[in-house]
Amino acid sequence: MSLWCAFATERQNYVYDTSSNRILAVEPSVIGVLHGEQAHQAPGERCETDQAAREAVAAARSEGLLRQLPYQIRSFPRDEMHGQIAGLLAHGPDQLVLNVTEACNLRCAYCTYSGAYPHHRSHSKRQMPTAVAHAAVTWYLNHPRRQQFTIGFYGGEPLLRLPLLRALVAQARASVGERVHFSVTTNGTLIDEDAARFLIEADFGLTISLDGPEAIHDRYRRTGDGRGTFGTVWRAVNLLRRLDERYFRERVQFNVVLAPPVDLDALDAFFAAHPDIFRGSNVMTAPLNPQPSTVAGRLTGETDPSLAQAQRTQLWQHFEDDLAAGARERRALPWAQLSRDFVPLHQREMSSLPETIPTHGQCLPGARKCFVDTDGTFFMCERVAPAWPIGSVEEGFAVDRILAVVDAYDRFFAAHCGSCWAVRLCAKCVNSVRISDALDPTRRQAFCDNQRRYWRGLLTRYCGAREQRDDAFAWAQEVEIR
Amino acid sequence: MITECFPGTGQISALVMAKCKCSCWGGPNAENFREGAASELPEAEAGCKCTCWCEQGKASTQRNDDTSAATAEAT
Repeated sequence: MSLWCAFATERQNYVYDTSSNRILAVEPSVIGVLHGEQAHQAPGERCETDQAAREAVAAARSEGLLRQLPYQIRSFPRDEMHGQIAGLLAHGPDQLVLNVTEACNLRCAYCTYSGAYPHHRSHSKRQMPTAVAHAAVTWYLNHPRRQQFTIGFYGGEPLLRLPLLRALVAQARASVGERVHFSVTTNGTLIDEDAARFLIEADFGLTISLDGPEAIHDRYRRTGDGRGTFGTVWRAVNLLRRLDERYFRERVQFNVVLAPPVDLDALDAFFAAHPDIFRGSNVMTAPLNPQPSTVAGRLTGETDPSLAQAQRTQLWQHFEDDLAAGARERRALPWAQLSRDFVPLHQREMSSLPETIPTHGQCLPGARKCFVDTDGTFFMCERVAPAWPIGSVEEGFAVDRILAVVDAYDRFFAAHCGSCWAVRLCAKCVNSVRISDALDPTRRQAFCDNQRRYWRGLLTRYCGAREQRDDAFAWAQEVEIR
Repeated sequence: MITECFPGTGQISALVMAKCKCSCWGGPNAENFREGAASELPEAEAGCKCTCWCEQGKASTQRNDDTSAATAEAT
């Protein structure tokens, strides 16, 4: 492993340098020198590389570039956790997410809770008791140093508990007024006019699951008796838009699960046909839950690898055409799929690293989100539950459990990230590498290999686009990372 | 033979300083917790060390005011 990454566009060879976060245009002979060092070739064996390249590498090193020694990795140093925990206890989570019900009116074939995932729960009629829900909200709102609160609702299908949602909104508003915001993740099938007006009135951030056009959406997103749900969801989408265009534009987004067999062309055409509804910034795509499962047996087929490759190439072409034209979001899907990670790459800071560095992505459990299960148990997020409980409504945060998670995370990655060139680019959390509640070395290796492949490709496309048009990513400067 | 090109805008450092929640220690108020900005630390606390967390897992950073060394990346 090395702390640099060589890549090439059609015009130029480059090296991404981890220590400085810089992209360096280099002669091929420089890459030859670096590869020779990596292979531990003695100087005499490097006869093909010229002296000038070795001198250039040495000069770069004298300026702090092309570091060879690994970094020390410590994301959650024990001696620094006291302050972080004190802050967490004083402020509580950025967002409280209540799993108000495990019941759902749909039986989507790929659902994490369908019974196909042995490490996750299955659908049940279990509900969060009203008293537990109110107690969780009370606990959250009683963090006096927090200025803004966000309460999210999750399920099952959370709109099955609409009366409870109304009561909790009223409770929170009565307690902290307009300092509380709400969000809900829904399958969109229960949004009649009454529900829509409530969601709009309370200004809910609304995430609707919609997998694409009817033929794709209805393939897996069905009711218990097998009926497709596209028509119902589509009516709700248009209802929300008709009732309040501003609300729809600013507060509604779509979650699209890319379930095999994936047809990116069909998705792209569908989103492009409805530019008044879909934008690159309100569409999120997600793969199937990668945890061990038997879900493949429930799917109607596999994605054709050669077709998928051709469709991805086409998607990239749409995206790069926009970049070359200085345009933005002319088609929703390419931007939803491809634009996101160019933002941090373009906004990256140009500084050297200290000797000890953190890796990125893992939250301090409970700080960003506290997911409350139906029985009042706390988890760091809905994706991780039921692994690693971090407290409960009765006891609040369990500090020892929070520290155990971050200790495990630090131990797990410490030996791997310090000599990896992607350490400043990639982000991962326990969910990226876990099987149930164990951090899995095989998943880590696959994740790391995939991240290096991904970021190398992104760097190549980034430089290729800027070769053609230096301001190709000017739009990324306007994107606020929150 | 080696030329820097396509530098980043550095906005992420500004983001971390301005937007993220930082727990800071090592200064006079070692248990401080800043919601909003490490850069809001009063002059007397310069030199303390902050770990900052941005919303939605977008960025985290570790910063030492002595050197302004910081790193922040996004998911």
